[in-house]
Amino acid sequence: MKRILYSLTLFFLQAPILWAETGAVTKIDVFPPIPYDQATVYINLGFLWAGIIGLVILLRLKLKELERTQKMDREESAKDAPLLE
Amino acid sequence: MNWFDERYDLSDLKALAKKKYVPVHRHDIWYYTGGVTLFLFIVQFVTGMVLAFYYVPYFEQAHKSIIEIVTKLNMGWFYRSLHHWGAQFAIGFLFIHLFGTLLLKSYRKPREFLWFSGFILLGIAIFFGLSGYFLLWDERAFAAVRVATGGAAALPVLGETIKAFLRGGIDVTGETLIRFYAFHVCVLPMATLALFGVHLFLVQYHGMSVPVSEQGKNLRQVPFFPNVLYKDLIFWLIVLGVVVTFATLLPPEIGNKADPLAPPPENVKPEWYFLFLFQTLKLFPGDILGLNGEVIAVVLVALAILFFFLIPFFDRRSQQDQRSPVFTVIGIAYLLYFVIMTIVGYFS
Repeated sequence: MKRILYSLTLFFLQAPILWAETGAVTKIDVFPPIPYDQATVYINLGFLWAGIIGLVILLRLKLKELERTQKMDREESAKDAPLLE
Repeated sequence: MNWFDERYDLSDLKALAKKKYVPVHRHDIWYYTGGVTLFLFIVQFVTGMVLAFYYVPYFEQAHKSIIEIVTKLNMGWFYRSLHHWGAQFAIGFLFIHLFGTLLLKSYRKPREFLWFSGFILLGIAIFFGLSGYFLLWDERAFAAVRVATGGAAALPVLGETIKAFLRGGIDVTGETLIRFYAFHVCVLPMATLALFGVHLFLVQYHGMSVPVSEQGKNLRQVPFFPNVLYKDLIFWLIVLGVVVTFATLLPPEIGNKADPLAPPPENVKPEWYFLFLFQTLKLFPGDILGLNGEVIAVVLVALAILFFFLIPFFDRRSQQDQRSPVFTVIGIAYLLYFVIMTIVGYFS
């Protein structure tokens, strides 16, 4: 009897824990959990943005220069165009 | 002359590229939305290939393999997050590109097939999203696919066949996972490549569409190579930065493994691009004049999408290069409905 009572007590103690475990959402780390790794990721993100901003500035400058030469070509060709009388 | 030039004469192609000009006007920003979408699809192909090396498309291992990709693989969390956010942005830009095309009436003669190919590409992208979401094999994805494939059954005549074809059986099971994996990594990418090819060829063939309001003006033309290409690159770089930032700061969570026998989790919602449909279906009561409300809702939504798809044929004024304010209002109504229902669905 003592053994049965002991088993039942243990069962009722364990049952809510097992029940809670089945319904609980297990949190899985989807980002490096170690602070050192996290810092590396954030620093690399900063480098990426620095690279992107640098490239965008370069492309803008290149584009402006292209547009300037194209405008000059247009004006030049318009000036050389034969006049129809 | 180098080794390649000795074997292949590409002078015709180079001459063709030099001939490509793009008009400059106040709406030309919309031209870049298509390029950004293409770039995001390239990101999806690359990140998808990396993930495919490690993903196991079998129901007992699928969820575990994703956990391993995220937790054990070097930079695995980043590739998965980039694939997730790349998909969100790709579909977002596809919608922007679609509504831009709609409101500028770029579908008008002779560009009807450009509209159709783009519209089908949007459908494919949405199916890409649904199939990719299911590969997670978590309880939310499982419930969402059960609802989505169940909704297809409400279509008259072919509904049950479509449902069975998508599920690979009566219910959503491990067979559905294999089927969705095949769609996601084989069928849909092949269809996308083919349609992208057609779409890009038609863009080159017809040239850039000029809105009706800008026609007749003496528009300045700029060469595609290199002017427009440089601007495209600027947009691509900025979008890449934004997607990487989202992928880094907001990596998607992994839910509990799906249990086909368990009840669906509470307040389960589909991905954001299905929210307007989800919310529309909720508006209809279960029974309307003795008919099944869900069937009526699905048929009405299908008809609205069909009208949207065939809009180049209905908009007669645009076909004659005239302004068509009625179709602008219809376009704005579609856009507002989509935005409002998505917001309502998100917060409900």
